[in-house]
Amino acid sequence: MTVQMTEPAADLPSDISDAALMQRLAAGDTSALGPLHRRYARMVTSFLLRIDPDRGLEQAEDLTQEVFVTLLDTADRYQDQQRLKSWLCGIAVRKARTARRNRWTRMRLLTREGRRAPGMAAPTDSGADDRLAARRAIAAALGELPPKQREVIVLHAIEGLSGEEIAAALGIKANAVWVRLHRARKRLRDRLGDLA
Amino acid sequence: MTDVDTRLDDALEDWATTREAPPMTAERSRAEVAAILARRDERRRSRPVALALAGVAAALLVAIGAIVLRAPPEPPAPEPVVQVPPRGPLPEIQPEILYEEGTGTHGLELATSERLVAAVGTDRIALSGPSRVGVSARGRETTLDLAEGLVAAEVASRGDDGFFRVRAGAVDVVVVGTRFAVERTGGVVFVSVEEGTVQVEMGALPTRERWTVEAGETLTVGARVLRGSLDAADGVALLLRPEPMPELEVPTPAPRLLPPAGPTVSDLRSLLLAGELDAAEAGLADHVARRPLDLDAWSLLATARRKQGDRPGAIDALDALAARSVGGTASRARYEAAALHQQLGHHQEALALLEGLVADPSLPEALLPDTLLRSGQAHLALGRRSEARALFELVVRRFPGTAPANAASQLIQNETL
Repeated sequence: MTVQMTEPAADLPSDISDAALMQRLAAGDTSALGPLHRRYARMVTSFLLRIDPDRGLEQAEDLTQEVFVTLLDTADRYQDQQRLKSWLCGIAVRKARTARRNRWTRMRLLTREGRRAPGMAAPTDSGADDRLAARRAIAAALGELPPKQREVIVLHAIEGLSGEEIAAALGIKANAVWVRLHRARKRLRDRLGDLA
Repeated sequence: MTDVDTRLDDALEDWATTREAPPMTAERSRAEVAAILARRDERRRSRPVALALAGVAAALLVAIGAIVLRAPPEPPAPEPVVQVPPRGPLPEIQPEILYEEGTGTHGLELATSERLVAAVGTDRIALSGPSRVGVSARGRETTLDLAEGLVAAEVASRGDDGFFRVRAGAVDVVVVGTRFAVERTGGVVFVSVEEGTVQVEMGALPTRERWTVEAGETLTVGARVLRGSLDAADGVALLLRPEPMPELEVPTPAPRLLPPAGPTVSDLRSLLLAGELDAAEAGLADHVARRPLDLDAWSLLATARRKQGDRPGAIDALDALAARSVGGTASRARYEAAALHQQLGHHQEALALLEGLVADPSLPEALLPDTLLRSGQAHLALGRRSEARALFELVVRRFPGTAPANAASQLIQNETL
């Protein structure tokens, strides 16, 4: 297929499928990136905010750009039968892990100096109402989960991906997904007590 | 799913609403897409390293000497270990050249620009100059003693019958049947395996250390032991390829010592110091193409290019140096590459290198303050002011009175962080 690399094509129908857009992207038609970005950028940013409760919006948006750069570079590997949402979540998880490692390095240095890393939420006990308190408790409990368990529970309970989709996105077996999910739920139940 | 799980999911969904990104407007999306495309283009421009390495590998193969020993026919193995490419019209030498009775060994020394492909029994070895190796082969027992340089081998399956071993100083690479290469430069031994499996061993019994290297993997044994994946540029099969290359000059059959071709690194260093930048750069580029493991030459090449004002070229040389070295040499090369990226405005690339360096225990202590300062500067350039400030404060606090601390302090004031 020969597709010109031009500015966003106004002629792209609004209901064009993700698969068709990915096909264009794989062929080098970067105008297909616009519609995909409009459809999924907010989802990706939200997902990145949720799997790392300490992450700020600015960092999540920066990582979202990285996710779409990788989408561009790997479009030819996308397979139609996979939901694009889970494909993007898989990329986002890997970007988030890299960012987490880098962040950990800095935090290690900073905490050695006896102060918290920037952007890391300081604990607070000003519970304005029960709902707010519950949300804070959830955030704290999620923050204490091992990152791989947190990724799975966010993908399943919040992003609504199936076990098979999560397995494909993370490159692990479905059984491993269920094991991580089970452990994450158990930890959250233990941590949240009556709230859950 | 239990009621408790359902309640938990409800609570999670409710919490998720507090971590929702703001809506994406069409205008904002257009700006973001433009930024994404620019980011990708910049990354592509700043990553010609793979091409550079492929070029180095190709240049390595330009000069070839080829010798084939007539080998007794091997009984057919159940499954061939490797697909040997068809052999070209190569000269043959008599087995006694490599099977010197009495001592059982024979020394081979290849000068720069030479390659030698030889059959040792049913196996095939390739040496890339400059290399020095002793070959000891009796029946199905073959030992190569690699004093310096690069040897690649394609070894027929042995099972319990004999062995094939490459000794590189204290490091032994033991093979059952595989295609692999061993490169020794100074105290560093680099093992890459293209097919099959090799066992790398080091030290004396009973504390002898062992590593298994599988197909597609590499192992660098130096001050530290590093695992990696095999790059196409490492090309064991390419090295073993027997067919003549365009520049092929078949030498006289017997291995021989040739005078080194071209100026030495010492000559080139003198040229560089004398300000003959173009000549030094050209000579060094030619030298590293022939001797890609000469770390001094890579370092000098980076210096020459930097002095010429060719920063991307200097980054390429530093990347190659970092990829081929370990410890302080590698981390210093990355540090210098990061500094050049910053000068070019490639802050994302610089930051990636700098953050890796902060976590790298081999980074010389003296470079840590400046590495942290530069990380902060990269964050600042990328608009991440809080991260920048945290790093600047860290430098001021941990390294008071140093030049990086003074610069960090100045930045905190000037940028009103």
